[in-house]
Amino acid sequence: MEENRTRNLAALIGLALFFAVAVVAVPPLRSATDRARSIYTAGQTEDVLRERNTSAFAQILGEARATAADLMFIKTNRYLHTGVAYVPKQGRDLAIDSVDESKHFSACVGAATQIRSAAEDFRGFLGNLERTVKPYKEASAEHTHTAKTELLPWYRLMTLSNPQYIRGYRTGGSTLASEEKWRQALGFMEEGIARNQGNPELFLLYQTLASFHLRGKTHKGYPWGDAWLDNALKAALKAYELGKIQRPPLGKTGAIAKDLAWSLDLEDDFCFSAHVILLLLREKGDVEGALQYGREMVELAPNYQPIRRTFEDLKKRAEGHADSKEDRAS
Amino acid sequence: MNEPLAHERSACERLALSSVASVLAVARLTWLDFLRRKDFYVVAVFMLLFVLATAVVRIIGIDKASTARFLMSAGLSLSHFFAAFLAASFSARCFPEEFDRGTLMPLLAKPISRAAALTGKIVACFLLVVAGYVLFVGANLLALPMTPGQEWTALAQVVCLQTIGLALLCTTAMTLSLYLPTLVSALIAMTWHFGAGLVVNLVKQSVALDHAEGLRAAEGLRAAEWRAMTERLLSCLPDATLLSHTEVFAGAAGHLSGPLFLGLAVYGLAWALLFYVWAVRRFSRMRL
Repeated sequence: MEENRTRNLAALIGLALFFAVAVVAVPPLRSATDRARSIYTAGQTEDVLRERNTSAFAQILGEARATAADLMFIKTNRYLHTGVAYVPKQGRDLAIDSVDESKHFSACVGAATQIRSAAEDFRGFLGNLERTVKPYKEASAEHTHTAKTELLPWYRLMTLSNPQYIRGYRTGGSTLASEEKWRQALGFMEEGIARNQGNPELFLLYQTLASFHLRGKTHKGYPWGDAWLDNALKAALKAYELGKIQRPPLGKTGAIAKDLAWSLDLEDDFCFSAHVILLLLREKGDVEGALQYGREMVELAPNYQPIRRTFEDLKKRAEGHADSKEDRAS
Repeated sequence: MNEPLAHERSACERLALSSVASVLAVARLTWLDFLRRKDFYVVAVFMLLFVLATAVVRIIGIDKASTARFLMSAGLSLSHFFAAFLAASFSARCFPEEFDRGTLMPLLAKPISRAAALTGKIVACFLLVVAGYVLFVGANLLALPMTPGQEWTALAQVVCLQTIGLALLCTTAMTLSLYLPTLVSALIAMTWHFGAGLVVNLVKQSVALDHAEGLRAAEGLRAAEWRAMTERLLSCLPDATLLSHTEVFAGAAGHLSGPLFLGLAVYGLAWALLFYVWAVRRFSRMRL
């Protein structure tokens, strides 16, 4: 009896010690593991994921994916199109609007469906059966979209399951903003920024944030009034500075400057942020500042025409401004 | 003075040797028992199908490194999944089946302690599962070449940590099977093995969300304290997903640092040991 009691006591003490050590040692171990994984996650850029999701093997495996967030993104795309499965297109074929990620899903009339059309289907009766029992629409027909608000919980879940899923924060934030849920959208994007410090794609979140504030110019419901200009400028500058660290010389596709394999989409987003800075500084009346940035940007991206055009316009304005000053002085 | 000590030592040694012999005998029996069943072969056939498909793809030609990485990642994840399935299925069935068939009493009537019987069964399950896992991984590597950036060190680390994870799964499933029916314990062990990370992540994220602010304010807790408390509580749960780094290898993201690898190995082994001790205690006290 006594021996049993002693054994039980020893077991309890052992267990207490085990958990005491776990409480002290596991949190740093977990964060070290997260850091090690973030190196891998950093390589899983939107382009890499898109390339993987469009590969023939991913198509064969259907919707099986290694990460829950990626799987949910695919599901969300499916729900958006009222269940109709379209063949995902890659990169620039998709007519991506860098201002609004949510447009990723729209404006794709003509996109092939995963279930073949009757004209292209060799399966005859089986093909007809599949088109009848599964959600299907002719590729040439206008896409029907479910209400975007219905999809919002998916973005929340995506980012909960993987806080480094930048794609989820961008699309979710843009969707919230397009539904004029301003404060929620800002909160969502700020949460993404807070949880992705050190993520090489962080500049994309700032770029989306800049786009978000840019809406303030035209949308009456924007709750921060005239502050849209400063807010957008601040976000765009941050996107530009962070993007510059990752961007290889001349934005060469496939090159790696730090942690990211640069792509055309990343280049588009980076140049968009840069261009927005020029436009906002011009809007603010800070032509000198805009010219200073413009010179740097033209050197960085000499082939990006919008920046070049805005820069030329700024130069003309500055010359005109100088002339009028001289006139007034004389 | 020295003679009795020498005599005692030899008695201890004899006891230890007989314990090891008992464990090995039980392990051998369990190994043979499970090898006679279809589970292992069914799983091996599924794995073989995947490997064959991969080999066909390789013959046709893999044009992109990303495709090769994707296939490698799928192959290694599938190997782990099948091995985990075997681990949960074998370990959770060991004792309930013996109870049902009434074959445990004759075994324990022999000079074999309960601890030795349990250890033997765990050892057999673990070895069989590891053999399966190594076989599956080997078949994958034969079918698919490693791409630039994928390191042997990382592969060795992945296999080592997954093996420890499988040991943890074996002990967890066996411990649960001493309380619950076979299927329930196997399902719980499998679900926790693969889903613990997701649950921990969801809990961690949800306490950091805005709606938790009210709760924190009501309890007079600051955000940082609240997060630290949750983190500590979550540390008391076994999380085998910490040991899964297949993507780090397949995604050609280098390898884990030495201290991190060692820390993770110790973490997995400590939890496996805890479940083993728990199972031994439970089994030793069970009324048969």
